[in-house]
Amino acid sequence: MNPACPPDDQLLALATDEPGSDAVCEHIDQCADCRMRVKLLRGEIAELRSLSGPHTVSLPKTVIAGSPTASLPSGTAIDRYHIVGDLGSGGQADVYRVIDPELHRDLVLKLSHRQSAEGDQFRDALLAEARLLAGLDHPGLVRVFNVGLYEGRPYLVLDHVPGRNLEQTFTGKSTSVREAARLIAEVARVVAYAHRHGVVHGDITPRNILIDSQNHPRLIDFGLSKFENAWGESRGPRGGTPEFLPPEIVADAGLPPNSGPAGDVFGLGATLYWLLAGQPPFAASTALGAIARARRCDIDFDALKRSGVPARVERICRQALAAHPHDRPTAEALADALERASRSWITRRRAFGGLATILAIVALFSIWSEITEQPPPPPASVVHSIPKLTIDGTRNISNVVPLRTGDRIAVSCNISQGEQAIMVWFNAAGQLKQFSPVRDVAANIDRMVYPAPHEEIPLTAPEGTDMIFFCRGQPISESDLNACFPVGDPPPPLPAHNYLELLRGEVTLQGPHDKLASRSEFNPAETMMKNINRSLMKHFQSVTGIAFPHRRADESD
Amino acid sequence: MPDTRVSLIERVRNQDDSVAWAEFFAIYRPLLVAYVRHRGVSEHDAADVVQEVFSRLVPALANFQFDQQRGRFRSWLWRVTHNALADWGRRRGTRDRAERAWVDQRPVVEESESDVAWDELYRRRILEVVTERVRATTQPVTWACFEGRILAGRPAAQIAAETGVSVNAVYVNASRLLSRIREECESFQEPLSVS
Repeated sequence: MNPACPPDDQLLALATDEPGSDAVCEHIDQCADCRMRVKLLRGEIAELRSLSGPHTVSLPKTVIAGSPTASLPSGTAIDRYHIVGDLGSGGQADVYRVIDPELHRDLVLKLSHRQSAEGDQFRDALLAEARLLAGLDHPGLVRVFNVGLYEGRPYLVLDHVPGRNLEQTFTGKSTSVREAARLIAEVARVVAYAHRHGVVHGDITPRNILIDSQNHPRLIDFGLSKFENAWGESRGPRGGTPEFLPPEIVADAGLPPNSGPAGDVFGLGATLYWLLAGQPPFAASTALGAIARARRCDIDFDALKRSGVPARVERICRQALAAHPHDRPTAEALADALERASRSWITRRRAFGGLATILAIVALFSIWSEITEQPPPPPASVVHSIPKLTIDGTRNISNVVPLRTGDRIAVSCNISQGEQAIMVWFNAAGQLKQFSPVRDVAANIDRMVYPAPHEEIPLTAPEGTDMIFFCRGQPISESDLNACFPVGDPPPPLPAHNYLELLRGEVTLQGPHDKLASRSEFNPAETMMKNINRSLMKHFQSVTGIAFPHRRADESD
Repeated sequence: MPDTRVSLIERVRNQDDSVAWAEFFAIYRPLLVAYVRHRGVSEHDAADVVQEVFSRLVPALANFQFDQQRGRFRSWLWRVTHNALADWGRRRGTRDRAERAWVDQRPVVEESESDVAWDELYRRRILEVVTERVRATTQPVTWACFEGRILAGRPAAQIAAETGVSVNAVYVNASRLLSRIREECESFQEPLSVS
């Protein structure tokens, strides 16, 4: 450190994401040592924040119902589970993607916002219920592996099922009646299994049914909606989703607060109706409107006729959606009826093609590049402003790595008007491919996208490590471009849950740090990326890039 | 540093130093309780297991060689705790599934072994002790600057307005306490920086 270097307190502003003085910023731009010091300070602060504050070893637990909690950073350990991604936060619980280092398996952890004290009856009931769930084992359920308390907050550990829910899968798309009947029959079997074990779901909607990679439905959030105060997302009065609510739930007083088995059957019928008619049974523009319709059990069954649903299937749907709980069939009987209907119907309409697309997580890939001509701000203040790979347009790449063959990807890069950029994909086999992204002037962001606005391309074999670069500037000749890459040399492997980001000449490891990834695991890939960047910068104004692990669709992490 | 944690452990080895022992106990007991609870031992039994650990620590410390290697005491203490836990589990037979799994899982404890949960709890506890120590010996305004800016991430300008110092002073105070905490952590062989 030379005498011109500022003391720690002057670097602290940058390390905590506040603007530093001009002199310090100017110095930082010139001084690699000080950049390293800022990085170390950041590391220390992150460590202090993750290990101190409310998360203490000896502090007595206090009840803070529904208190807002900051989401935990990747790498945080919740007991033996390591957070590798933030899957979002519901009204009452945070959902993380975690790995269990002992089992090397991908899991989902739901951490309740509600902190509770020892001896809290609510907590005991919650844990007891969760343990009951952990005892359920059916291929149509998402397995509950563990239940516990973290800093007084109950958590659940569930199987990670990559897939999309029915709502994401079928919104705006037509389903064949046969496919709808098959899906609901399968879910009804799962529900019947749970009912036999004394567990009621309480909120069956298209959102709570996932389609897994084998195209089978999985019922999620099972039985937990009963404890919506701890786990669920409040989506309406007394939980439940208004447009799918059984009438008895919204009827006037004198009814139990929670839906019984017949309520689940109604949910199955409502989901079937949604698949067939393309709208929820109590579709309305407001939640109150939906509730008003639910109260009257005002369902437009003609919509089924208009959609060409066979009378037999319509009848089954009507029975499941009966206004009075005791008029509805059991889940088992509903499954039987649907299966009989599809069998008889297949023999008559053999030509009807089923929708059997294998659905994978849609990953929208977004790389941003510098768009201004001004000198870059100091590194410390930009780190948080870089959106990364997103899933469904909102989530972070750390939730989706490792990407898998078949995952769908869209790449985008912010750019100034009139500027050009090329996209270069250096795939896992060390092959180079150049793409021309399309300009997408959406909202107030001018950006280049690939393959096209609102479109994605599937990730294809080979598997390994893929690198994608966005290079801003005039296109260069193929031979010049080839010379920038170690063509034929596959990029070195990356840890499953990490990725590398290249921004403004710096390559940084993203995802869980230190604890899960040792330097030697990503060093070779990092070096390759740096070398490529160095070569590309001879031709382009700026280069941004990303290197991510890419696995086979059926490969476990 | 006259009173490093290294010297605390040296003092604990001298079994007559009851002040050192009390301090040692105060620092490590909550950690041990949290850890054995984490391993599935009931609250009621945890006190027994921890008692057992401490009774082993007294003679074991005599043979412990403190050196400057990071995390050395952490893994040593883990080993003592684990052996105590495993023995306790064996003594209790196979009454409880968690204990049974525990005994089956770790018949022999290797020199280099440790576990992530322990490391996390240990570091958390040391940081807690260190932070509390620094807080207790700091002027409230200085502490408010550090806590607000570093731990809570609140805007420096806001903290400056509340405490009546300049924004610069907020950073100077925060930086000073950060460096004290860094030193204290070092004295436990647990550098603040994880890299």
